[in-house]
Amino acid sequence: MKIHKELITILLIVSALVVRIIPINFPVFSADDARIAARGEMLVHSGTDELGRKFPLIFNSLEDYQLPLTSYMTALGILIFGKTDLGARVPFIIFGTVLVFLSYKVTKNFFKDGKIPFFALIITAFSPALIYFSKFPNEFIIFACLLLLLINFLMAEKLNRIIIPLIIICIFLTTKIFWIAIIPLTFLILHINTSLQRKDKIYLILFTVILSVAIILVFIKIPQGPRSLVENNFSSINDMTVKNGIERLRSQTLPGWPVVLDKILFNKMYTLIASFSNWLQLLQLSTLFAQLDKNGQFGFLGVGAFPKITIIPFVLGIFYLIREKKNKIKYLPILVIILTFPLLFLFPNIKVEYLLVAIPIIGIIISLGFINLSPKITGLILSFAIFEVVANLFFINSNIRNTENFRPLWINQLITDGYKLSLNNNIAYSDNFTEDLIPHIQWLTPASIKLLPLDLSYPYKYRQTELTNIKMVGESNTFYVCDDRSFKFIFATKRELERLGNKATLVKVYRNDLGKEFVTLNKIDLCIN
Amino acid sequence: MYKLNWKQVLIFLVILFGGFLRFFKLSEYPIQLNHDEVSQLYDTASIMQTGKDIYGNFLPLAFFSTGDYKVGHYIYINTFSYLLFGNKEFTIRVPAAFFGTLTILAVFLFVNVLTKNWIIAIFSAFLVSITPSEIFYSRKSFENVIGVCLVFFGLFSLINNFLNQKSKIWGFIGIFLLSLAMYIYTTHTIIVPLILFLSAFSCRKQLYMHKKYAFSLFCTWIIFITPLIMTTLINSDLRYRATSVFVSQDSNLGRLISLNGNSFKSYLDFVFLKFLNQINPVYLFINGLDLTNQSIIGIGPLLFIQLPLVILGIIFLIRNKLFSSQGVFLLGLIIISFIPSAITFEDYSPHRAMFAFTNLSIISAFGLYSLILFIKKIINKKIKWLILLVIFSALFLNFVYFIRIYIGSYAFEKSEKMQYPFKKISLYAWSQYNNFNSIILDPKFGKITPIIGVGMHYYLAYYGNVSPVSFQKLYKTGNKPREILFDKFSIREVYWPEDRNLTNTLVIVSPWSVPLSDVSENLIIEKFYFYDGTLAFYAIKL
Repeated sequence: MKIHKELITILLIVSALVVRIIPINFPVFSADDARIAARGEMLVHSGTDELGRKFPLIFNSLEDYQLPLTSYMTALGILIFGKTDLGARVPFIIFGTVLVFLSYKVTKNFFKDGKIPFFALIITAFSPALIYFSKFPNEFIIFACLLLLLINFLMAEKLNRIIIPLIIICIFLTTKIFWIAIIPLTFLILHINTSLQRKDKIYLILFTVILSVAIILVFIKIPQGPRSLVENNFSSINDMTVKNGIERLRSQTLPGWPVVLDKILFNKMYTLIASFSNWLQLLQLSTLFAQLDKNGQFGFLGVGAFPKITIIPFVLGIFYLIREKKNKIKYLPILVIILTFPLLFLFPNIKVEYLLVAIPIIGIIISLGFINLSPKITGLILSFAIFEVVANLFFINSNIRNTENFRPLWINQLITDGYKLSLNNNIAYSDNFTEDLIPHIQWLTPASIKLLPLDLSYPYKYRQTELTNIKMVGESNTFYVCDDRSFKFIFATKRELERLGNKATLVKVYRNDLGKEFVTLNKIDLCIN
Repeated sequence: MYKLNWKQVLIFLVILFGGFLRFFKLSEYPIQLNHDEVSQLYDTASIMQTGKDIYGNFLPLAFFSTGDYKVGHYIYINTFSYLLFGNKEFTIRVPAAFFGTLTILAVFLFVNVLTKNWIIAIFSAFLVSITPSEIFYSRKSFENVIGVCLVFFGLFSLINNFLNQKSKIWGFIGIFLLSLAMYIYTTHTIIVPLILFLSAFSCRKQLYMHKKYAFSLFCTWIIFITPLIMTTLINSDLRYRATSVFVSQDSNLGRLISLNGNSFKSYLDFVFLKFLNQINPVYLFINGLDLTNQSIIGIGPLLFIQLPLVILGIIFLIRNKLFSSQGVFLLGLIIISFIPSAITFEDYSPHRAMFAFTNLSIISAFGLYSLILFIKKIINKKIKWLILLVIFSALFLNFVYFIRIYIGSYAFEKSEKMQYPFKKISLYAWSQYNNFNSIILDPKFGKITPIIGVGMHYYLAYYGNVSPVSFQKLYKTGNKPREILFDKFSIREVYWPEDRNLTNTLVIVSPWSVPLSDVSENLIIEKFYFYDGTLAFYAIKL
């Protein structure tokens, strides 16, 4: 029987691995993914990042600073498998698969029943969100995996004084949005785990508190660190929509209506409701079971974090949680709240990627729903769930078309063509046909970055515009006639074509993933400044 | 002499309070009759005086109205109000306000018979009386309010029959009322069969024991709804009305189909997403009624304070075995009542989900009840009263906030949705009737983007006191796009390069059609503003 169980576990984990691998080149890299992949390759070969810094701990992107673990993990993959899709994605596939096994282990800590951990294993193995995030370089799947690892160790009978601090350090080096969640999380798990000694608990809490404070202090010492935190992790503080809205409503005075009452009804306290609404938006049923990310950047088209049919065991799982007052299980919803409460501060930004950390825990709640279901119905629901996930793998092209802006596949051809041309000529690209083309070029071609002297050691929101013989053209750039070092080709959008007029000769037309003519290759003989 | 006991007095007071909230200054809030209301009112007058709608159709089931083939039941029901109050603005709002008030009683009776708990029933009635969506829709001429009321009375009758073993006549009354609701509003045509199925499932034991009686009820239902099925099949106008709002009209679905290349998957994904979106707590409790333009600052179909109460209510229903079957029934009703919103084309359609909101209010009443039970257990009296004070203060403040948004911000921010200032324009146009040979009104208007006001001819006819008999004779369609002509009036798009050469003509136009800069200032004789003071229209003397 034991062998039978172990075999099933292994089979399920292998299935989880398979659905994470196939197809290996999906999803197409976004600019951020390509940046991490290209950076990984640079770290392997030169030990520097795209700004020329030697093994840094803080990296840069268009939006924010990036913490190091994701980039170094990608580098590890590339070191082993080379500069290939597999190399860049394999660390995340592994994290995603390990996470499946860890969810099984964590569920066992919460629930001794033999079946429930298996259901949790199946649910996480076939969670579309977890599958999706296991397929491209990102910090969220690493964080979710490390978090389950931490919970697993914290719920053990003995405290491991080496591994646990190491995991916590790794967590802190993965993503900063959840820094504020680590202390309450540790508190909660230590509260649940009654078998640990008091001195161990104190040691661990002290370690977490000190580390949290130290890391935050170090981060805000970076010149733009506080700005980075306010803009990306606590955007609700800076938000003006609520403030303006309140002012607007207050200005609509009514005859006879007391002004004091307006001050009580419309005030800055509404920011709390706005923040709460942001949290509710992310945790709503449609995000979990119908559509994780409507833009398609972080999820399959028309699919939620879990297969649709699993809403049935989810509802039953909630019923079970409410009815049963068993010690450990009742903490599952609190765990979800702790893991997602940093989202409160993100208003008005709704970032579904931050929901990923809670997905394995919600998966456990779903698996609880199977307790009172007959084996036939359970089998039917699980079959439908797996069928939906597998069926969606046949609709990869719909996803590619849906994300032609964030995850553009169509640019590969023009990047390859451009690189060939750049070997003998100066070439230019319009900078408005995708979010950021440079990382894609770096990842897809051997073109090397043109290092510019840095004014700051940690520039914030940094965009690169030049590679060897390749230049990005923005609205502020101008074209002029010159004798020397002129640009011979430009991959231009409508914006640049209108500016160039008859100075450009059409060579080739490129269509985007929706089949729409979008960029043209043109012959020019102009300089750009 | 029959004496009311204090419980009856209390429910009477709750209904009275609910009635006050629904009838007080009914013609002033909302600030103006919208095009649906004015068209229904004028068509009521037309039916009463001529037996025909304004286009000359004899007792139509679907009124062409402003081109949307309105189901005519509200207009026919409004004839009673018309007889009582005459041709006044508030006449058209009276049926909804009346049935909205009656819903409070219906909910009380339904919950009382379902739970046999008087306190939960009174809490439900009270919460329904102050719920934003209930008040909002009861104060505009909206037939769904009538449907919801009938469904609750119908369910009360059915449950009274089956659970309380009352006379069989209750069963037939219940079936009659539920069937009637199906005629009133398309939403109920969809949900009532599902509600009946759910009720039958909930009472399956009793039904099995009385198979013959159950069969006779089923047959009665079929007999009652046969005319509805027949008219829907025969009447193309009614079918047009249904198909024009179906989910297939949604452009987002069209995009999904083109991406997927597979209709089945696209429909499945899209409808499921739409269904779950209806349960979005932000929509339900924070801003779903769309009464402001301030994004997150608004009001939902339910008060924000009802969110924790609904959660507590669900927990109470799940934990408390006494109410578990009722809980499943109520949750089933909520799920069913969101289906129409999921299969129609708008992202959110609160007007189609009113029955769900009422049921959510009932669930929140369970939450309030469980909270009171919890507070009762607190020994310290001061703490007990303090908690009660906090809860009811929060409820009160939240309610006052809704009232403030409804009577203030809604008017300021959404006046164009009520076709404001069409009434003022109509009155002005009539005041200038003798000064011009022809009066042109361009219905294109809007604050941020231009929209076409479709009911201008109704406003002109109603506020000009034009008798429906005359209007039916005078009404014509012109040669220009969407042109409506009657008497001196022409309702059409203004083409300024051509129309500027007209003489002895009054042109009422918005800056969307003719920018102010194109018109000499001395030609502008009047300006009309939206409620917030933004310019909406101006009158040009040619």
